[in-house]
Amino acid sequence: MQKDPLLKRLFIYAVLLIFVLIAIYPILRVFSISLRPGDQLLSTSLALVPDGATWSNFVELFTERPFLRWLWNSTFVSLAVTILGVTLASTAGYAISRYKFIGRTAAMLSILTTQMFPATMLLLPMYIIISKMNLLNTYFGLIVVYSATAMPFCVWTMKGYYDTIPYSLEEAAMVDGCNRFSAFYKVILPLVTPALVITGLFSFMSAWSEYLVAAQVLQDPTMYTLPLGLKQFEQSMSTEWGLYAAGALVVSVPVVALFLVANRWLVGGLTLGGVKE
Amino acid sequence: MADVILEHVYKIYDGDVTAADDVNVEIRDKEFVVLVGPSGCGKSTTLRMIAGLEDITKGKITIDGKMVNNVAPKDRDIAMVFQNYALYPHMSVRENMAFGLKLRKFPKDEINARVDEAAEILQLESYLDRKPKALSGGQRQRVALGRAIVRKPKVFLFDEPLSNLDAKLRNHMRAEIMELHQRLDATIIYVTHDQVEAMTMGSKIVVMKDGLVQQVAEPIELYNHPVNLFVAGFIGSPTMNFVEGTVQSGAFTAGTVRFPLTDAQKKGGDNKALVMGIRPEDLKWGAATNGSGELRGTTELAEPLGAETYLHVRVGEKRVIAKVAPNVEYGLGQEAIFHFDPKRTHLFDKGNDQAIR
Repeated sequence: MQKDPLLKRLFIYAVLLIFVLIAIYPILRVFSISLRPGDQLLSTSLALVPDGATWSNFVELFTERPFLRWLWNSTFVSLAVTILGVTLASTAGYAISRYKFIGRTAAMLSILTTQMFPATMLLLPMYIIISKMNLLNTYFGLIVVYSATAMPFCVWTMKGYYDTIPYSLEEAAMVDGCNRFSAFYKVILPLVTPALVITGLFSFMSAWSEYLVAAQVLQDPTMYTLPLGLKQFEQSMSTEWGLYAAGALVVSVPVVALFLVANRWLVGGLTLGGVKE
Repeated sequence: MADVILEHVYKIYDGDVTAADDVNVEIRDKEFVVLVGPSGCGKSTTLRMIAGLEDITKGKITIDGKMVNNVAPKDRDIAMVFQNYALYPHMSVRENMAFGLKLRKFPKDEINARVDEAAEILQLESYLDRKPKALSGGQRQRVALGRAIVRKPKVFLFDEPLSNLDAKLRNHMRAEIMELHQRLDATIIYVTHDQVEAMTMGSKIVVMKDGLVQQVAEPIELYNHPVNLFVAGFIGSPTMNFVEGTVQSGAFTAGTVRFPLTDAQKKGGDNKALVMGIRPEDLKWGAATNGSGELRGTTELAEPLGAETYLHVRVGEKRVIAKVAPNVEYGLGQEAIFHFDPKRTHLFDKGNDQAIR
């Protein structure tokens, strides 16, 4: 491959660097704030490591605040949403991709249409439904809402991925000794790992960092998820910025880790070689 | 014994597209039957109905004496080789071949023995641990074959397995499949659109068109006694020449072509419209002698193939092809005269395209 001229490359790198800085600067600021001792919270210093830097905010977070409780709540809800989302989306996407049934197009379009409404607009009807179903202040209620909001994207992603897999693979499996379900499970599912991972990540993320819905559904502070918990540090008279920043950093760690781990499954070409195109 | 019998089988897709129209075929144990026809003739649909991948709209299919209309593909004891190979991309060659046996809960030793045996037959031993994407087209096709033969099924189904290979590989694989048939002693049903494949491989050929079975016969019978114009034109390369004419005082007449007809052929009386078919190799260079037919035209094109030469000759509105010896001294643009044995001609009723014997 021919390399671009030096000047052009320098320019590209310069532009990329600027964007990296724009992206990373707020995070560095949060990091810096989380290290500040109590008396410097409102300091205007831009130093990455402040004078008298201390881990005390992190320590306080885990020892004096119910942070671990919120962490557990969030993890539970997010994992439940992920499992539910991946299970439902992988099967629903498969059905829509493979079966012809009355209302298929209508189903696809209505799924898509739900994506056109802003979440805030759905908040009130959602609240009414949840309260009528007596699901207020329950994890189940939260899980149902999160799954429902993540599903459209997930179903479309899965459906699109299944569409790229030739039907003759299932037919070969069925002649070889599979029934419909085992053909799906043993032959097709392994080939859609990237889509499963994307679906899983998306479901997890949409639950992990969600605030608005959680604030309506959950009322008992012991049930709070992380975003709700963090908001507690913000009070009418003062905001505990140090704790807030430390909490925000800790919240983002699992997500970053998840992306790093999931990365290795996000590869193309899984279906290469199976069929003659 | 693994006979496959199709009785009055129909496939009508939603709406009114008839893909298979009253198909009746009896496939005997250990026969190599080829379903052949142009694309859209219903041959693949018929094969897929035998496999159980398509529902049967009407009729009855039995395998080994058992009606299988409502039996799942996995319970029909068949193996199928797909046109696009349909290998499992996430499994190695060995796993691909072992998959069916594993699902059927064969003991491990048995599975390994069978896979190794198939790999040896197909010369895949050194590729067993590779994934399909690391194989060439011919190797992939062989893996697909291997996946079928390890199962030792009652019936093998082949859906145009060679159409994705280049010409040289195709000839090679054709021979391999024929050897495999002898070695496995199995019933094979093979779909192709290539009449050369059909003629060379099949012990029985089923010619289909528009969902209808046109003729079921052994290759030579099909070649020598096609039942209608379609079969006559479809089987043979170069294709049979057709000359339209009429019955005049008991003889077939078309321009300069004229020869006497048998009593059966004359039936219908004078002026009956007929189509005469004659194969390129039955047109002999030189003028007619006593009792033979004659055909005159202008040589327009010659294809010297070495062992023989195809002459394209303009006869009135039509062009006919004659297969002549390489030493024939023709001249392009000059008159060519051929003679032929009337017994070697095929006559068809122009009204219904059926052969007149």
